[in-house]
Amino acid sequence: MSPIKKKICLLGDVGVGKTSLIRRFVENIFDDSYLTTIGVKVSQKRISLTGEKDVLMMIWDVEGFNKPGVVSPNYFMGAAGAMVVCDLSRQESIENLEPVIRDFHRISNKGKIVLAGNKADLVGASHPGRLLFRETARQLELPFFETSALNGQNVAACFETLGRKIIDPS
Amino acid sequence: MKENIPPNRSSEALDQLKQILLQQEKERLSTVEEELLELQARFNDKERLIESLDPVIADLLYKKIMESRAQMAEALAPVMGEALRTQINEAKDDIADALYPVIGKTVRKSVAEAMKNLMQAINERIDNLVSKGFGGRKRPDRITLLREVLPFHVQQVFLIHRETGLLLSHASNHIDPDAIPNEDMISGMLTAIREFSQTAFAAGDQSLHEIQYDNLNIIIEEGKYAYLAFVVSGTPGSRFKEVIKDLEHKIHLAYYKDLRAFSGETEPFTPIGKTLESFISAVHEPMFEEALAGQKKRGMAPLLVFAGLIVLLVAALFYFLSMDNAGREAELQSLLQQYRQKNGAFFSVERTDNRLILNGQAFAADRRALLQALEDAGFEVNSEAFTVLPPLSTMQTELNHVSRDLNIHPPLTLIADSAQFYLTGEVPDELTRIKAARRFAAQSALPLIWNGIRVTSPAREKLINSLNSQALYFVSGSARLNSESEKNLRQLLSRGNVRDIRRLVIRGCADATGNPQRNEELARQRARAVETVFLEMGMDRSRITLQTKIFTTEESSGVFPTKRRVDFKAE
Repeated sequence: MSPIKKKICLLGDVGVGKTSLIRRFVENIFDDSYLTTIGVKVSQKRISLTGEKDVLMMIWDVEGFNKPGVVSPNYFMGAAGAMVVCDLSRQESIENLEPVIRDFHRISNKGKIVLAGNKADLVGASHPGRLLFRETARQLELPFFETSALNGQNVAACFETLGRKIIDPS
Repeated sequence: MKENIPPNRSSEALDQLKQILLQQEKERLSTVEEELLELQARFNDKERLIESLDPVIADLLYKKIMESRAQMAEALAPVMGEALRTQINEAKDDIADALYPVIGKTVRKSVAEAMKNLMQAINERIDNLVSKGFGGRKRPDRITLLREVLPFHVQQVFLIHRETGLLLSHASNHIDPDAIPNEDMISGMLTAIREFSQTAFAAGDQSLHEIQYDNLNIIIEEGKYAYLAFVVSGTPGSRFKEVIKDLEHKIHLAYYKDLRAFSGETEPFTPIGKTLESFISAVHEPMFEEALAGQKKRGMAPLLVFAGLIVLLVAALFYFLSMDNAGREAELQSLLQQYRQKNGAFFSVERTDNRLILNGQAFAADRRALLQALEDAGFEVNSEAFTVLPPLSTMQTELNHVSRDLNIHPPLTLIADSAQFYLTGEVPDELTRIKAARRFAAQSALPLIWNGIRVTSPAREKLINSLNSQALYFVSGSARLNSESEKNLRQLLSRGNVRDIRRLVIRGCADATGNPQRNEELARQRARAVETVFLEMGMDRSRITLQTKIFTTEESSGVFPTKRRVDFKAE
């Protein structure tokens, strides 16, 4: 049976580990030079959700910038959802979550969002970045995961949650 | 006062003083000696010397070259030239190995570019000749023949959803599926590149139509909801654009609703795969495939293919220019033309001297008669790829079965017009319309069918007619319907389902008495008040258009009695 195909975007500041998260998760990937050339790189992952049709996620890894609003909004067109990534050890990247989400929703207003606080392996349990991330996620009322591309912590769970959200409109 | 100090004590003290005064100098001297030894060692060791001088010399050279390029070139040319000559003489094989990847690619690219330009020049020349010589009438078949021997080849076709970049359908002529890179990812990247070019060059509504990659071209034909990307090698003729536009148009026509509502399900588009495969076969040029196959087998590929193509071109041009038997040629053209006009007939002809290869389809009787006529005229005919269409009556019987299964009365009709097949008839809803066309397409295996089935529903017709012939009236100076119109609106909506309305224009009207701005606002409020009722009944907002109209005092109120109203245009 053919899977449901969905486009999702991977967003966040430069250096938060988006591309590393993808490397952990996907099965097909283009050369990274595309990312530096045109600012986006497409990868693919098929996920099976219990009781649902398989979802073929086409993941658009959009080049990060330290300033929200710089990414071409055309890349968000038609996206069913986005994983917005920050670096738990960098406060600024956590503070930028909200404006990045705003930019995304301006183009894809029904797109579902999941937050990923990456580099969890670098920060302790009571690190201020970890606390700020949790607080931000609660304020935004969005599902969130503390991930580590290094040891794989929560990476699959984060993508699968997004997959489930984008095929369930409720 | 002077003290007497023994001589040995005096010498110790002097040594101590010397040590204190000269210690630092001694240490410095020792370090300098070590550094000198190190420098000597470095100078004697060639590799270490190069390592030390390399960054300095590189910077110095760069600076010098940037400052005085001409002088540097003049100074280095004799030395470099000599060095290169010596190196090439001494190590020809090494040099060839080193340069092969670069030169090979460059030659291939250059040959591809030269071929492309040659093809374009020939195409333009032919177009000019034909338009001058035949006054814009349909091209004679020798032109078609010439085009068919030109090396042009569609390798892959992608149908891609425009907004998301998701792949809807794909066809390829690769024999080995593993040889094709992941087509879903290609679709995404292709869309990303299009978006990038649009943003980077501020192209607005304009978009990328062609990407050249090595000796391949990606030609893009854009539709409203999806675009087609053709990966081609060689140079397509000038009519290729028309053909792919036609294909895009037909796909949009047949799958308009699915494309518009696309949310990730690609199953509705499965039948398009066959259409795309047929398209690749239809424009496929076998001789070129053989050349390509040879290219894979043999290392000397580019040159051999190039030589082969040149021979083909010369032969084709020679054929085109030589008109040794005008009467015989005229007879052939007349025969072909006569059968090309038959219903359902669609074929191309390749000719080598007296031998004709027919490729396409026709009804059995026409096919038989044409082959007989060609043989009678003395041509040797290969008709392996000239397939027989089932009789129209058989296809109509199949269509009757489809109509019966889907409960369509009266049954749908199939019309053959030239090379096109049309489905006509009426069905109660859009889903049945699509189901009927798809089921018949699957059973008949025709490459392309126009879906001309109309959706007609008695309830829908009734509702549309009522809307187009009625107006709703308002209390003076307000956006509140009067009691009779409220009743009429309820009755009107009970006549059918508002979801069946494809497009609805709600026009709010007011007269010009009083403040113009207030009148405009009132007209808008009236239109909105009625729109709200339709939205509550489940109509999609995107199908509704609001308009306003202020009637001047001199203007009549038209077909309706008063100007304080809302009227409709429904489809």
